[in-house]
Amino acid sequence: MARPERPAGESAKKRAAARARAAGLRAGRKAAYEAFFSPGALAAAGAAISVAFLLQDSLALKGLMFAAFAFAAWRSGKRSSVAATIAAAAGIVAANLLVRVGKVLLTVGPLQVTEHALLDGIDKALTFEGLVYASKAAIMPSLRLPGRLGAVIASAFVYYDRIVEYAGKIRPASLISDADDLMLRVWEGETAEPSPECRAVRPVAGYAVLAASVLASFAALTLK
Amino acid sequence: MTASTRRPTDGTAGAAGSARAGSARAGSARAGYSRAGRGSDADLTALLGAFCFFLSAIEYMVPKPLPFMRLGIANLPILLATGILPLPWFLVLALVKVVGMSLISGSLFSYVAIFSLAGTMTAALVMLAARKAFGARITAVGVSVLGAVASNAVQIALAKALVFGDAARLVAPVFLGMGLATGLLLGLFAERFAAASRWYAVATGKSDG
Repeated sequence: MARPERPAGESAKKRAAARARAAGLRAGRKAAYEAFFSPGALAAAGAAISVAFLLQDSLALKGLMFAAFAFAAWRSGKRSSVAATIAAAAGIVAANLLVRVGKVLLTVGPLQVTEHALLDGIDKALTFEGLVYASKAAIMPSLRLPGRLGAVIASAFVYYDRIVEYAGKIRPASLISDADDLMLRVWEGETAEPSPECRAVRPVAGYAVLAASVLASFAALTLK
Repeated sequence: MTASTRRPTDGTAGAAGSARAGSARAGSARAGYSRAGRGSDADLTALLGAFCFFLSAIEYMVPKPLPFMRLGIANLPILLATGILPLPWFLVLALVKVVGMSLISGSLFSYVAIFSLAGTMTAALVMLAARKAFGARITAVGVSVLGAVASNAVQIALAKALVFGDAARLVAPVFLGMGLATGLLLGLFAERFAAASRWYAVATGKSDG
Protein backbone atom coordinates (compact mmCIF):
# COMPACT_ATOMS: atom_id res chain seq x y z
CA MET A 1 0.00 0.00 0.00
CA ALA A 2 1.35 3.35 -0.99
CA ARG A 3 2.16 5.58 1.92
CA PRO A 4 0.74 9.07 1.84
CA GLU A 5 3.40 11.50 0.77
CA ARG A 6 4.55 13.68 3.63
CA PRO A 7 6.08 17.06 3.05
CA ALA A 8 9.76 16.07 2.95
CA GLY A 9 11.20 17.19 6.29
CA GLU A 10 8.98 20.27 6.38
CA SER A 11 8.95 20.42 10.18
CA ALA A 12 12.67 19.68 10.34
CA LYS A 13 13.31 22.60 8.01
CA LYS A 14 11.14 24.85 10.17
CA ARG A 15 13.02 23.76 13.28
CA ALA A 16 16.36 24.37 11.59
CA ALA A 17 15.22 27.82 10.47
CA ALA A 18 14.02 28.62 14.00
CA ARG A 19 17.35 27.47 15.44
CA ALA A 20 19.26 29.58 12.94
CA ARG A 21 17.08 32.59 13.76
CA ALA A 22 17.64 32.07 17.51
CA ALA A 23 21.39 31.73 16.97
CA GLY A 24 21.41 34.94 14.95
CA LEU A 25 19.52 36.81 17.65
CA ARG A 26 21.86 35.44 20.33
CA ALA A 27 24.91 36.51 18.33
CA GLY A 28 23.42 40.00 18.00
CA ARG A 29 22.82 40.24 21.76
CA LYS A 30 26.37 39.02 22.43
CA ALA A 31 27.93 41.59 20.08
CA ALA A 32 25.91 44.44 21.60
CA TYR A 33 26.77 43.31 25.15
CA GLU A 34 30.49 43.04 24.40
CA ALA A 35 30.50 46.47 22.75
CA PHE A 36 28.80 48.00 25.80
CA PHE A 37 30.89 46.57 28.65
CA SER A 38 34.64 46.43 29.18
CA PRO A 39 35.59 42.78 30.03
CA GLY A 40 37.72 43.79 33.03
CA ALA A 41 35.18 46.20 34.52
CA LEU A 42 32.39 43.69 33.94
CA ALA A 43 34.31 40.93 35.72
CA ALA A 44 35.15 43.22 38.66
CA ALA A 45 31.52 44.33 38.97
CA GLY A 46 30.38 40.70 38.70
CA ALA A 47 32.71 39.68 41.52
CA ALA A 48 31.44 42.51 43.76
CA ILE A 49 27.77 41.77 43.01
CA SER A 50 28.34 38.05 43.67
CA VAL A 51 29.63 38.92 47.15
CA ALA A 52 26.52 41.06 47.82
CA PHE A 53 24.35 38.20 46.54
CA LEU A 54 26.02 35.73 48.89
CA LEU A 55 25.49 38.09 51.84
CA GLN A 56 21.81 38.65 51.04
CA ASP A 57 19.58 37.12 53.74
CA SER A 58 16.19 37.92 52.26
CA LEU A 59 14.87 35.12 50.07
CA ALA A 60 12.63 37.53 48.13
CA LEU A 61 15.50 39.90 47.32
CA LYS A 62 17.67 36.97 46.44
CA GLY A 63 14.95 35.83 44.05
CA LEU A 64 14.88 39.30 42.47
CA MET A 65 18.65 39.31 42.07
CA PHE A 66 18.47 35.82 40.57
CA ALA A 67 15.97 37.11 37.97
CA ALA A 68 18.27 40.07 37.19
CA PHE A 69 21.25 37.74 36.76
CA ALA A 70 19.27 35.44 34.46
CA PHE A 71 18.20 38.45 32.38
CA ALA A 72 21.79 39.75 32.19
CA ALA A 73 23.07 36.29 31.18
CA TRP A 74 20.40 36.18 28.45
CA ARG A 75 21.41 39.66 27.23
CA SER A 76 25.06 38.56 27.15
CA GLY A 77 24.18 35.98 24.50
CA LYS A 78 25.48 33.09 26.59
CA ARG A 79 23.77 29.74 26.20
CA SER A 80 21.72 28.65 29.19
CA SER A 81 19.05 26.03 29.60
CA VAL A 82 15.94 26.78 31.65
CA ALA A 83 15.22 23.04 31.90
CA ALA A 84 18.71 22.31 33.26
CA THR A 85 18.37 25.18 35.76
CA ILE A 86 15.01 23.88 37.00
CA ALA A 87 16.30 20.29 37.18
CA ALA A 88 19.39 21.28 39.18
CA ALA A 89 17.36 23.52 41.52
CA ALA A 90 14.78 20.77 42.04
CA GLY A 91 17.59 18.32 42.86
CA ILE A 92 19.07 20.66 45.45
CA VAL A 93 15.68 21.36 47.09
CA ALA A 94 14.80 17.64 47.07
CA ALA A 95 18.11 16.71 48.67
CA ASN A 96 17.54 19.27 51.42
CA LEU A 97 14.03 17.96 52.04
CA LEU A 98 15.43 14.52 52.86
CA VAL A 99 16.65 15.89 56.20
CA ARG A 100 13.55 17.00 58.14
CA VAL A 101 13.95 20.29 59.99
CA GLY A 102 11.11 22.49 61.26
CA LYS A 103 7.33 22.38 61.04
CA VAL A 104 5.81 19.68 58.80
CA LEU A 105 4.05 21.42 55.90
CA LEU A 106 3.06 18.44 53.82
CA THR A 107 3.32 14.67 53.79
CA VAL A 108 3.73 12.92 50.45
CA GLY A 109 3.94 9.18 51.03
CA PRO A 110 7.07 8.55 53.09
CA LEU A 111 8.38 12.09 52.49
CA GLN A 112 7.62 14.85 54.97
CA VAL A 113 8.12 18.37 53.63
CA THR A 114 9.36 20.53 56.49
CA GLU A 115 9.37 24.33 56.51
CA HIS A 116 12.99 25.03 57.40
CA ALA A 117 14.33 22.34 55.07
CA LEU A 118 12.21 23.69 52.21
CA LEU A 119 13.29 27.33 52.71
CA ASP A 120 16.90 26.27 53.17
CA GLY A 121 16.74 24.19 49.98
CA ILE A 122 15.22 27.08 47.99
CA ASP A 123 17.87 29.45 49.36
CA LYS A 124 20.70 27.08 48.40
CA ALA A 125 19.22 26.43 44.95
CA LEU A 126 18.80 30.18 44.33
CA THR A 127 22.36 30.84 45.49
CA PHE A 128 23.83 28.03 43.41
CA GLU A 129 21.99 28.86 40.20
CA GLY A 130 22.14 32.63 40.78
CA LEU A 131 25.93 32.57 40.95
CA VAL A 132 26.04 30.53 37.74
CA TYR A 133 23.96 33.16 35.92
CA ALA A 134 25.86 36.07 37.51
CA SER A 135 29.10 34.49 36.42
CA LYS A 136 27.83 33.88 32.88
CA ALA A 137 26.83 37.53 32.63
CA ALA A 138 30.10 38.82 34.10
CA ILE A 139 32.72 36.71 32.35
CA MET A 140 33.48 37.40 28.71
CA PRO A 141 35.74 35.04 26.76
CA SER A 142 37.85 38.10 25.79
CA LEU A 143 38.73 38.72 29.45
CA ARG A 144 42.54 38.68 29.82
CA LEU A 145 43.93 37.78 33.21
CA PRO A 146 47.16 39.50 34.24
CA GLY A 147 50.51 37.89 35.01
CA ARG A 148 52.22 34.68 33.99
CA LEU A 149 49.13 32.55 34.69
CA GLY A 150 47.09 34.85 32.44
CA ALA A 151 49.65 34.50 29.64
CA VAL A 152 49.68 30.69 29.88
CA ILE A 153 45.86 30.65 29.81
CA ALA A 154 45.88 32.91 26.72
CA SER A 155 48.33 30.52 25.00
CA ALA A 156 46.16 27.57 26.03
CA PHE A 157 43.19 29.20 24.28
CA VAL A 158 45.25 29.48 21.08
CA TYR A 159 46.07 25.75 21.31
CA TYR A 160 42.42 25.03 22.14
CA ASP A 161 41.30 26.66 18.87
CA ARG A 162 43.71 24.41 16.96
CA ILE A 163 42.49 21.31 18.82
CA VAL A 164 38.87 22.17 18.02
CA GLU A 165 39.79 22.58 14.33
CA TYR A 166 41.44 19.18 14.27
CA ALA A 167 39.06 17.32 16.58
CA GLY A 168 36.66 16.24 13.82
CA LYS A 169 39.30 13.80 12.59
CA ILE A 170 39.22 11.75 15.81
CA ARG A 171 37.36 8.46 15.36
CA PRO A 172 36.37 6.11 18.21
CA ALA A 173 37.90 3.11 16.37
CA SER A 174 41.38 4.66 16.36
CA LEU A 175 41.04 6.93 19.37
CA ILE A 176 44.56 6.59 20.73
CA SER A 177 46.46 7.05 17.46
CA ASP A 178 44.15 9.88 16.38
CA ALA A 179 44.56 11.63 19.74
CA ASP A 180 48.33 11.17 19.42
CA ASP A 181 48.27 12.69 15.91
CA LEU A 182 46.26 15.59 17.28
CA MET A 183 48.77 16.32 20.03
CA LEU A 184 51.74 16.10 17.64
CA ARG A 185 50.15 18.31 14.98
CA VAL A 186 48.95 20.92 17.44
CA TRP A 187 52.32 21.03 19.18
CA GLU A 188 54.33 21.11 15.97
CA GLY A 189 52.40 24.06 14.54
CA GLU A 190 53.36 27.63 15.24
CA THR A 191 54.14 28.40 18.87
CA ALA A 192 50.89 29.44 20.51
CA GLU A 193 51.01 33.21 20.58
CA PRO A 194 47.84 34.91 21.75
CA SER A 195 46.60 37.89 19.76
CA PRO A 196 47.00 41.19 21.56
CA GLU A 197 44.13 42.18 23.81
CA CYS A 198 41.44 44.27 22.12
CA ARG A 199 41.30 47.54 24.01
CA ALA A 200 38.29 49.07 22.29
CA VAL A 201 36.80 52.05 24.09
CA ARG A 202 33.42 51.30 25.67
CA PRO A 203 30.66 53.85 26.24
CA VAL A 204 30.57 55.60 29.61
CA ALA A 205 27.01 54.32 30.00
CA GLY A 206 28.40 50.79 30.32
CA TYR A 207 30.55 51.77 33.29
CA ALA A 208 27.62 53.71 34.79
CA VAL A 209 25.35 50.66 34.54
CA LEU A 210 27.97 48.50 36.25
CA ALA A 211 28.55 51.04 39.05
CA ALA A 212 24.81 51.41 39.62
CA SER A 213 24.36 47.63 39.70
CA VAL A 214 27.09 47.20 42.30
CA LEU A 215 25.66 49.99 44.45
CA ALA A 216 22.13 48.60 44.17
CA SER A 217 23.24 45.09 45.11
CA PHE A 218 24.93 46.36 48.28
CA ALA A 219 22.07 48.79 49.07
CA ALA A 220 19.73 45.80 48.95
CA LEU A 221 21.61 44.36 51.94
CA THR A 222 20.14 47.12 54.11
CA LEU A 223 16.54 46.26 53.14
CA LYS A 224 14.54 43.77 55.12
CA MET B 1 56.15 39.02 28.02
CA THR B 2 56.21 35.71 29.68
CA ALA B 3 58.02 32.59 28.63
CA SER B 4 54.99 30.95 27.08
CA THR B 5 54.53 33.52 24.36
CA ARG B 6 58.12 33.75 23.10
CA ARG B 7 59.12 31.81 19.99
CA PRO B 8 62.08 29.48 19.73
CA THR B 9 65.05 31.42 18.43
CA ASP B 10 65.49 29.25 15.30
CA GLY B 11 61.75 29.33 14.50
CA THR B 12 61.81 25.68 13.37
CA ALA B 13 58.56 23.73 13.27
CA GLY B 14 57.52 20.29 12.04
CA ALA B 15 59.43 17.09 12.70
CA ALA B 16 62.68 18.87 13.34
CA GLY B 17 60.91 21.10 15.81
CA SER B 18 59.55 18.01 17.43
CA ALA B 19 63.03 16.57 17.78
CA ARG B 20 64.18 19.77 19.40
CA ALA B 21 61.15 19.61 21.64
CA GLY B 22 62.41 16.30 22.96
CA SER B 23 65.77 17.68 23.88
CA ALA B 24 64.17 20.87 25.12
CA ARG B 25 61.97 18.79 27.40
CA ALA B 26 64.93 16.86 28.71
CA GLY B 27 66.66 20.17 29.28
CA SER B 28 63.65 21.79 30.84
CA ALA B 29 63.53 19.14 33.51
CA ARG B 30 66.92 20.41 34.60
CA ALA B 31 66.31 24.09 33.98
CA GLY B 32 62.93 24.31 35.70
CA TYR B 33 60.51 26.86 34.32
CA SER B 34 62.96 29.38 33.00
CA ARG B 35 63.03 27.97 29.46
CA ALA B 36 61.10 29.68 26.69
CA GLY B 37 59.44 28.72 23.40
CA ARG B 38 58.37 25.34 22.08
CA GLY B 39 59.13 22.49 24.42
CA SER B 40 59.36 24.86 27.38
CA ASP B 41 57.37 24.01 30.46
CA ALA B 42 55.16 27.05 29.82
CA ASP B 43 54.41 25.91 26.26
CA LEU B 44 53.71 22.34 27.33
CA THR B 45 51.51 23.56 30.19
CA ALA B 46 49.50 25.65 27.70
CA LEU B 47 49.10 22.66 25.37
CA LEU B 48 47.99 20.33 28.17
CA GLY B 49 45.68 23.06 29.48
CA ALA B 50 44.08 23.33 26.04
CA PHE B 51 43.63 19.55 26.03
CA CYS B 52 41.86 19.89 29.40
CA PHE B 53 39.50 22.53 27.91
CA PHE B 54 38.74 20.24 24.97
CA LEU B 55 37.98 17.22 27.16
CA SER B 56 35.95 19.43 29.44
CA ALA B 57 33.85 20.54 26.46
CA ILE B 58 33.23 16.88 25.62
CA GLU B 59 32.32 16.19 29.25
CA TYR B 60 29.94 19.16 29.19
CA MET B 61 27.84 17.34 26.58
CA VAL B 62 27.31 14.33 28.87
CA PRO B 63 24.09 14.81 30.87
CA LYS B 64 24.67 15.09 34.64
CA PRO B 65 22.19 15.00 37.50
CA LEU B 66 23.87 18.04 39.08
CA PRO B 67 26.05 20.73 37.51
CA PHE B 68 29.15 20.11 39.59
CA MET B 69 29.14 16.33 39.16
CA ARG B 70 31.82 15.49 36.64
CA LEU B 71 33.11 12.33 35.05
CA GLY B 72 36.65 13.61 35.41
CA ILE B 73 37.87 12.93 31.88
CA ALA B 74 39.33 16.45 31.77
CA ASN B 75 41.85 15.23 34.37
CA LEU B 76 43.54 13.04 31.73
CA PRO B 77 46.15 15.68 30.77
CA ILE B 78 46.92 16.19 34.48
CA LEU B 79 47.40 12.46 34.87
CA LEU B 80 49.78 12.45 31.90
CA ALA B 81 51.55 15.55 33.27
CA THR B 82 52.60 13.70 36.46
CA GLY B 83 55.35 12.17 34.35
CA ILE B 84 56.20 15.31 32.38
CA LEU B 85 56.00 18.60 34.26
CA PRO B 86 57.99 19.76 37.30
CA LEU B 87 55.96 20.64 40.42
CA PRO B 88 55.52 24.42 39.86
CA TRP B 89 54.27 23.98 36.30
CA PHE B 90 52.19 20.97 37.30
CA LEU B 91 50.34 23.21 39.76
CA VAL B 92 50.06 25.95 37.13
CA LEU B 93 48.46 23.38 34.79
CA ALA B 94 45.85 22.52 37.43
CA LEU B 95 45.11 26.24 37.87
CA VAL B 96 44.99 26.83 34.10
CA LYS B 97 42.46 24.00 33.83
CA VAL B 98 40.21 25.45 36.54
CA VAL B 99 40.42 29.10 35.48
CA GLY B 100 40.28 28.40 31.74
CA MET B 101 37.30 26.09 32.06
CA SER B 102 35.58 28.66 34.27
CA LEU B 103 36.18 31.32 31.61
CA ILE B 104 34.80 29.09 28.85
CA SER B 105 31.71 28.12 30.82
CA GLY B 106 31.42 31.53 32.49
CA SER B 107 31.26 29.98 35.96
CA LEU B 108 34.27 31.74 37.48
CA PHE B 109 32.29 33.39 40.29
CA SER B 110 30.01 30.47 41.06
CA TYR B 111 30.13 27.49 43.38
CA VAL B 112 30.90 25.41 40.29
CA ALA B 113 34.35 27.04 40.15
CA ILE B 114 34.91 26.27 43.85
CA PHE B 115 34.00 22.62 43.26
CA SER B 116 36.24 22.55 40.21
CA LEU B 117 39.16 24.17 42.05
CA ALA B 118 38.90 21.88 45.06
CA GLY B 119 38.39 18.74 42.98
CA THR B 120 41.13 19.48 40.47
CA MET B 121 43.76 20.58 42.99
CA THR B 122 43.03 17.58 45.22
CA ALA B 123 43.19 15.15 42.32
CA ALA B 124 46.38 16.77 41.01
CA LEU B 125 48.18 16.72 44.36
CA VAL B 126 47.08 13.17 45.21
CA MET B 127 48.11 11.87 41.78
CA LEU B 128 51.48 13.60 41.98
CA ALA B 129 52.06 12.35 45.54
CA ALA B 130 51.18 8.79 44.49
CA ARG B 131 53.53 9.00 41.51
CA LYS B 132 56.38 10.39 43.63
CA ALA B 133 55.82 7.98 46.53
CA PHE B 134 55.46 4.78 44.56
CA GLY B 135 57.31 5.57 41.30
CA ALA B 136 57.19 2.64 38.90
CA ARG B 137 55.44 0.44 41.50
CA ILE B 138 52.12 2.14 40.82
CA THR B 139 50.34 2.04 37.47
CA ALA B 140 48.49 4.92 35.82
CA VAL B 141 45.29 3.12 36.82
CA GLY B 142 46.25 3.27 40.48
CA VAL B 143 47.28 6.91 40.26
CA SER B 144 44.09 7.81 38.41
CA VAL B 145 41.75 5.96 40.80
CA LEU B 146 43.39 7.57 43.84
CA GLY B 147 43.07 11.02 42.29
CA ALA B 148 39.46 10.54 41.19
CA VAL B 149 38.24 9.16 44.52
CA ALA B 150 40.07 11.87 46.49
CA SER B 151 38.63 14.56 44.21
CA ASN B 152 35.10 13.24 44.57
CA ALA B 153 35.45 12.90 48.35
CA VAL B 154 36.46 16.56 48.63
CA GLN B 155 33.57 17.59 46.39
CA ILE B 156 31.13 15.65 48.56
CA ALA B 157 32.45 17.47 51.62
CA LEU B 158 31.94 20.79 49.80
CA ALA B 159 28.47 19.74 48.67
CA LYS B 160 27.64 19.00 52.31
CA ALA B 161 28.85 22.43 53.40
CA LEU B 162 27.43 24.50 50.54
CA VAL B 163 24.49 22.79 48.88
CA PHE B 164 23.08 19.56 50.27
CA GLY B 165 23.66 19.66 54.00
CA ASP B 166 23.49 16.25 55.67
CA ALA B 167 21.76 14.76 52.65
CA ALA B 168 25.16 14.74 50.94
CA ARG B 169 25.84 11.35 52.53
CA LEU B 170 23.01 9.95 50.40
CA VAL B 171 24.70 10.88 47.14
CA ALA B 172 28.17 10.01 48.43
CA PRO B 173 28.14 6.29 47.50
CA VAL B 174 27.01 7.01 43.93
CA PHE B 175 29.49 9.85 43.56
CA LEU B 176 32.41 7.84 44.95
CA GLY B 177 31.40 4.87 42.78
CA MET B 178 31.44 7.14 39.74
CA GLY B 179 34.91 8.35 40.73
CA LEU B 180 36.14 4.78 41.02
CA ALA B 181 34.73 3.79 37.63
CA THR B 182 35.89 6.86 35.71
CA GLY B 183 39.27 6.81 37.47
CA LEU B 184 39.72 3.21 36.37
CA LEU B 185 38.75 3.89 32.75
CA LEU B 186 40.84 7.05 32.60
CA GLY B 187 43.85 5.21 34.03
CA LEU B 188 43.50 2.40 31.49
CA PHE B 189 43.27 4.91 28.66
CA ALA B 190 46.25 6.91 29.97
CA GLU B 191 48.35 3.76 30.24
CA ARG B 192 47.60 2.71 26.67
CA PHE B 193 48.06 6.25 25.39
CA ALA B 194 51.40 6.70 27.17
CA ALA B 195 52.65 3.37 25.81
CA ALA B 196 51.65 4.07 22.20
CA SER B 197 51.96 7.84 21.88
CA ARG B 198 54.82 9.41 19.93
CA TRP B 199 53.90 12.80 21.36
CA TYR B 200 54.16 11.52 24.94
CA ALA B 201 57.55 9.99 24.20
CA VAL B 202 58.77 13.34 22.86
CA ALA B 203 57.26 15.28 25.73
CA THR B 204 58.87 13.05 28.34
CA GLY B 205 62.21 13.27 26.56
CA LYS B 206 62.27 9.53 25.83
CA SER B 207 62.32 10.10 22.09
CA ASP B 208 63.47 12.71 19.63
CA GLY B 209 60.22 12.26 17.71
